[in-house]
Amino acid sequence: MRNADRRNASDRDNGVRGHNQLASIQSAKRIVRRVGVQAVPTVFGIIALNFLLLKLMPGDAADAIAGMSGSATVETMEALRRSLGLDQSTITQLIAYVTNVATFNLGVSSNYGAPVISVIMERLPNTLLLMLSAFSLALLFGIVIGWAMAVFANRWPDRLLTTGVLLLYSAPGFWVGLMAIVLFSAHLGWLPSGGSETIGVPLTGLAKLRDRAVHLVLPAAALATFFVAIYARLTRASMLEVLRQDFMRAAAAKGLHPIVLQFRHALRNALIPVTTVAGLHLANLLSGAIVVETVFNWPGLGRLAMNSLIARDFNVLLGILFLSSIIVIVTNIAIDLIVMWLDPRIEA
Amino acid sequence: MTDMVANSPTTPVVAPTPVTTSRSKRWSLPAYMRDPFLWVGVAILLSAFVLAAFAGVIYPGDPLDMAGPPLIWPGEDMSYPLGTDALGRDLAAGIVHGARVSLMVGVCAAMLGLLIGTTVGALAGYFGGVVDNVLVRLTELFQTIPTLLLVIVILAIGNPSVPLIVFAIGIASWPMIARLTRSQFMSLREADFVMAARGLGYGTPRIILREILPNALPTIVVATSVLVANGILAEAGLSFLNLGDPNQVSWGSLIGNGRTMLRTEWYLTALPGLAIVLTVLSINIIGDRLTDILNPRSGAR
Repeated sequence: MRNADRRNASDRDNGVRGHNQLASIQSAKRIVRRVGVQAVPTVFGIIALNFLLLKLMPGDAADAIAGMSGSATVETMEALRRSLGLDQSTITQLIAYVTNVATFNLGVSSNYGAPVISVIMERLPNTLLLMLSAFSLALLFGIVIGWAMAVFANRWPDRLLTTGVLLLYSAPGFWVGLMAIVLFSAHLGWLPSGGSETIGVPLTGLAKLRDRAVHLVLPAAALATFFVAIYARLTRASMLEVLRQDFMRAAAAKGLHPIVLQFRHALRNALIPVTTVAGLHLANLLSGAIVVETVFNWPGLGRLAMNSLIARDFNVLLGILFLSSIIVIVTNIAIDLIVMWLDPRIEA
Repeated sequence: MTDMVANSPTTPVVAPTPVTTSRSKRWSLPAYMRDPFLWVGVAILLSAFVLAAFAGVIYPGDPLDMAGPPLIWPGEDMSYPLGTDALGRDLAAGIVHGARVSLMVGVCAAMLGLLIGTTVGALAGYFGGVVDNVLVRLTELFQTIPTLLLVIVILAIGNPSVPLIVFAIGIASWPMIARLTRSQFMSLREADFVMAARGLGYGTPRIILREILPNALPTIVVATSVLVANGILAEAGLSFLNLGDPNQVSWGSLIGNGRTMLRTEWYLTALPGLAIVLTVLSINIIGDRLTDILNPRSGAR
């Protein structure tokens, strides 16, 4: 362990020194290590967990198929199990499952009568759109509010904002969404209360874009609230940490303009930990999206998961669990790369 | 008037002698104890627990039973101070009884998360090497999976009941504690007192449980307050989605039931939500202040 630490330390030194062509080789190495050591075992773990959950589910695939066809004798059930490989040992089944999942063959949905992957892919863009909008909103407002809190630390604007942020941190996003519906769509009539577009009105071009944007505002804002609070608190703490550093005093003594000081020196350095932690909350963002989608009738993965739960469509449920985990892993790798690019001292 | 001034030990004009000053300093509360927010938080949380504990006394009978005429607005009829829903169920009774489920699920799930997280984090941080690698991968695995989806799948396997919900939320919430415990153990395992304990020939379990854990525990316990808060929020989300125990009232299920009349009778949704916000807010305030006390550098200043 200690040897490994020393090796890491020397790698880190190389990372600082490595600039030109060395840097690209280094970062390629890092990506390989990031994917090989961290992502691949996680993916296998998720597949294994999925398999375990599938085994724990009441009934198996043969039961589901028999249920769809209406009736089955003991003999046909046995034949069905044999043809599906359900009579094999657990290890053989696990290997078959891993092979299937690795080729994105997630089985057939008993509820929709279509391959799980196509059922999910149909809904995926909507959820991604919602998540991405909420994520951007949360980062933007979180950083701005956190920065303002740090600048006015311990004076009344800070206290006011801190209280507001703590309120956002404590309110369930779906309830904020419901209250927003009461205010903005029931009483003021400014925004639609649900769905992802106006149904029955064929729109094109700019009008279509505007329609979709209007439908997106409330769900994205409701999903963002909790994360605005997280990022604001983080930015505040991290800004205060940076403002204490010696280089800030040096830059101020050098006579730099306060605006340059705040943005180029303080905020930029304060954002590094914020970006790193932002990735950790992606899975939570997806969890939040499920409830918010239900509130706003947003046709995404969350609604699909709820419908599949009611219909006992386990293949779709596990497919969503698997694919959303993959999305979290891939996005996290992307964020790591961005952070590395922002700050060459950091390695994966 | 003169008597009063003379008797007051905190008035510096009358009591300028150094002995009295030091006594008055000793008697004044530390800064964090004078924070009004902390006391508001403690008061709200205490009253929530009292309401939950005495729900059966304050509102005897099943809160799911019809109590009066339907759809009375809050304040309209003083025998139903928070109004009634479409089936004539008393909303105040629902909120008081709902406090039971919400608080119990929050606290129990946090305890389960604390237990798993501390165990995993302690083993990973103390042993390092292969053990650490495997356990860190396991922690990352659970951080990668969207918690609510995992909980939904677990609830699909079994029938929704309060213990299963506690289990599902607990099993999904421990990674944060595990990471924290691990970093604490990694920095403490090289500390002098641990070296001394090793030198004395103490066994590994004793070093972990009796030497390192008591030193790491305050930070971990304070972090658990976030777990309780998130547990309450998660339970609210689940029972809002109709995944809660159908025979138990909880704040989330009240919101879910009120949602059908959101446009007109919005108080049915607003009030249970307010109960959640107040409770979670008080937990977060207390947790924040405790963090500041334990680690003064992390807070304001």
